[in-house]
Amino acid sequence: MPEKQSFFRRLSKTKILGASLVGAAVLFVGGIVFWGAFNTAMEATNEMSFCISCHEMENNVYQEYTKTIHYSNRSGVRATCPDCHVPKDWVHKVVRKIKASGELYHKVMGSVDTPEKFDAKRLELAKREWRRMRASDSRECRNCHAFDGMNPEAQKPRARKQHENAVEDGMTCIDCHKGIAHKPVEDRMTEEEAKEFEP
Amino acid sequence: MSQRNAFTLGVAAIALGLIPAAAFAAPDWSKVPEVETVLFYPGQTALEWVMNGPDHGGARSFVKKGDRCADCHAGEQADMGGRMVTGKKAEKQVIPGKRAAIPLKVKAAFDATNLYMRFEFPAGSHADVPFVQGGKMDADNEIKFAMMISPEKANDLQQRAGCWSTCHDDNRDMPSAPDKAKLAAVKGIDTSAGYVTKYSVDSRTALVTSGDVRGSFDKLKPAAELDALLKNGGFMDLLRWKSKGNVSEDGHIAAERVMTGGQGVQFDGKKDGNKWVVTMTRKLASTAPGDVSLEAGKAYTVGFAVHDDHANGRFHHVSVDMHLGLGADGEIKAVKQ
Ligand code: HEC
Repeated sequence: MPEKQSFFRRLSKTKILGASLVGAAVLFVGGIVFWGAFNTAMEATNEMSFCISCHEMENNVYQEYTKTIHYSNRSGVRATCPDCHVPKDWVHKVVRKIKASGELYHKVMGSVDTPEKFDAKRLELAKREWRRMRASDSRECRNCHAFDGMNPEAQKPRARKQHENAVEDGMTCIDCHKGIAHKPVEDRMTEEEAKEFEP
Repeated sequence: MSQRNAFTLGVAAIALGLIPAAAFAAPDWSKVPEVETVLFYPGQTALEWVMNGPDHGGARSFVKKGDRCADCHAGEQADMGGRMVTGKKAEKQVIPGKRAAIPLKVKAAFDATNLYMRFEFPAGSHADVPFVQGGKMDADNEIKFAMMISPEKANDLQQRAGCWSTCHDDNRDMPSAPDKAKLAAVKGIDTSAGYVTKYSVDSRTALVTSGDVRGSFDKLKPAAELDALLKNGGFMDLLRWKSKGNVSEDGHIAAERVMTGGQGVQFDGKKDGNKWVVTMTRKLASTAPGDVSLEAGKAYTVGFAVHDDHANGRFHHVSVDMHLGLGADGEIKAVKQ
């Protein structure tokens, strides 16, 4: 008789989206745990300390970066690796992370494990990042910098004029500011290659 | 004595070399306003370097947007000079101890006949040039002072770049300076000194601003077109003072640099304590080839250079382009007498 079935029994027979209630609860909690772990892991890989845990990064690009204004400046605001190289919003971030997982393969293969090998690949790697930034209208730069937040009076004449021109022509940060935090490699491009990055 | 008689007498006196022209009819400089600019050490930043994007952040704005060098660089010349003089940028032959920049005070006045200018800059100390025997490139002249004037009809690039329009990557001691064989192959300019001098942009069929070898010394226009340059503004007037013997020269730059041929100019300069003072008198109007005929009410692109401390060739200090207004607007406003 239906009424005689215990409350628990009834509950256990209830289905949510085809799963038993217990199953659903396990999935739910599991989901939270997984989600938390996933995001924790993603955030963990979004720390500068993680980025430079590979000597490839620590010995090359990181050393160069520590000599630039994005690392050390008057007011102590620091932009770390992910601030420039990883999107802030979730969707773009996950896409970027998935793409970046290819680096694991190259880590194992030792693609850039000596300064010489790194230098040989430098332009190719830089170009990839320049392309990404152009495609997003330098989104990561713009998380902090904005044309309409600039005070032209506080800029040197050369910068003032350049920014005026950039606004007029709809240019984006990376059009001019290539290699600001690393060794400049722009001049290694052939003229043909350079055309791709002309504003 | 009537004014005209006085004038005739004056001209006769100059012609006879009795008194230096500057002493004649020179304005009361204490009444003429002073403009201060800064000459800086340019290293090997030729026109081709300036027009090349990867080398120069301002290239696009200069080439495509029509900006003047001064639009971006006026006021920061001393910092710029510091980058080249130390070899941080665009300089392979560093001269330790050479100054990065020289402040230059300029005064200008004019009357119906002449343009008068007065220049003053601090004397510096000597720095031995390590790659020259004796440490001095031009042992005779401690200082050479030069001024370029761009004709009104000159092309837009020359008007905006000033002196830079004549300075090229294949000039003497520049990165693309040609070897003897290449020099010997080019006809139409004098290369007997073993190098290519400055040349105007209009004297060449093309400008080579990128690649490993830049410059256009061998892309000379045909002779007939070169002759026409002096009439249609494709040149720079060049006036120069040399400290040894207080010598004045009046030349021009078109297919190459020529230090003679102008109507003449009278400089008078000397070291006065810890500064150099150079005055200049030049007739406004001229029909001599390679001279700019100056007119009241107009402004001209000019540039200045000091070969400091026995320097030669490219090892000078230069101004960015400036506008000299004769009763017209400009960074330097010549006052009417
Ligand atoms: C729209 C602005 C702009 C214009 C116009 C411009 N520049 Fe620049 N220039 C820059 C910037 C920005 C830099 C520094 C960045 C770089 O070198 O890439 C620079 C650097 C230089 C340097 C190297 C020294 C230094 O401080 O870095 C020289 C020399 C120079 N410019 C000369 C010129 C000359 C000559 C002209 C005109 C023919 C000119 N510039 C026109 C913006 C400009």
